[in-house]
Amino acid sequence: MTLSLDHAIGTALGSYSPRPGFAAELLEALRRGSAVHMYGTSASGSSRTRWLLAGSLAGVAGAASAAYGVMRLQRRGRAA
Amino acid sequence: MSLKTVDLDAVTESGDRELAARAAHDFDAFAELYRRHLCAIYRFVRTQAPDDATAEDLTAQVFFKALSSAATYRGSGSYRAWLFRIAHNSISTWGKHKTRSVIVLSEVPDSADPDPSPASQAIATEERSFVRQKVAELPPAQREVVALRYLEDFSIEEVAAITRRKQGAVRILLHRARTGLRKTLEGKEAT
Repeated sequence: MTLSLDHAIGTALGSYSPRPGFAAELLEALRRGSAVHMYGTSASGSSRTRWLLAGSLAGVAGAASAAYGVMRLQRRGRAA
Repeated sequence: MSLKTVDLDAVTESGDRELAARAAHDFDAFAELYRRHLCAIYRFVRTQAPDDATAEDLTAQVFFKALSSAATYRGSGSYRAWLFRIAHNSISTWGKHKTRSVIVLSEVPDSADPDPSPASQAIATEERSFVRQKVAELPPAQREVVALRYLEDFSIEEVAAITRRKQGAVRILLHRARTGLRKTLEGKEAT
């Protein structure tokens, strides 16, 4: 091992990268998850509004995340 | 004209903060943060996950959580560290429920090598695979701090904050991981 240990670790682990298409696929799923949330409500800055906004988005994003997972499982099933 | 040294990390961090402040109500701002950090989050998660598919699922979870919690980011630390904290939590939760722990190392395309010689590339690829394999064999806690410190270049203080450990505990984990890896790698070099 000619390189320093830290460099060797960084270089070895740094070669992981997402498959082509993954970034766009996930971004689209995130966009769909956020679509209901972005209903034009102006962020008033009051903590109550912020928490309501976060709460509603958490529900939507949770559902979208679950849907994304199901979609992925179906695709894996087809590929198998 | 004088040249000024620009701290790119500081510029990125302040840009992140500005985007994060808008991310709760502006998807384009969130999308920009996503583009900036996706590869790093995936890379980190992949070092902790057994295969590419699990890494994708965990990465998706991280960004869905970041989106749903966008309004809760207070800007007290860097957005990047906040995101890695979410990744740490997602991996921990997944780790408690997973049924297998063998990490499968798929062949991943290696980044461009400045030396185009096929022999040199083969050696470099073999070395990288070997190191990845040995890191994958570390206990999860050691593997995580190694990835945060040497892959993502977080400071000990940041690693401690992300993993909710004391700085001394992080140092011990790193020391044990490095000692084990050094022995293994030196053993390979000697053969």
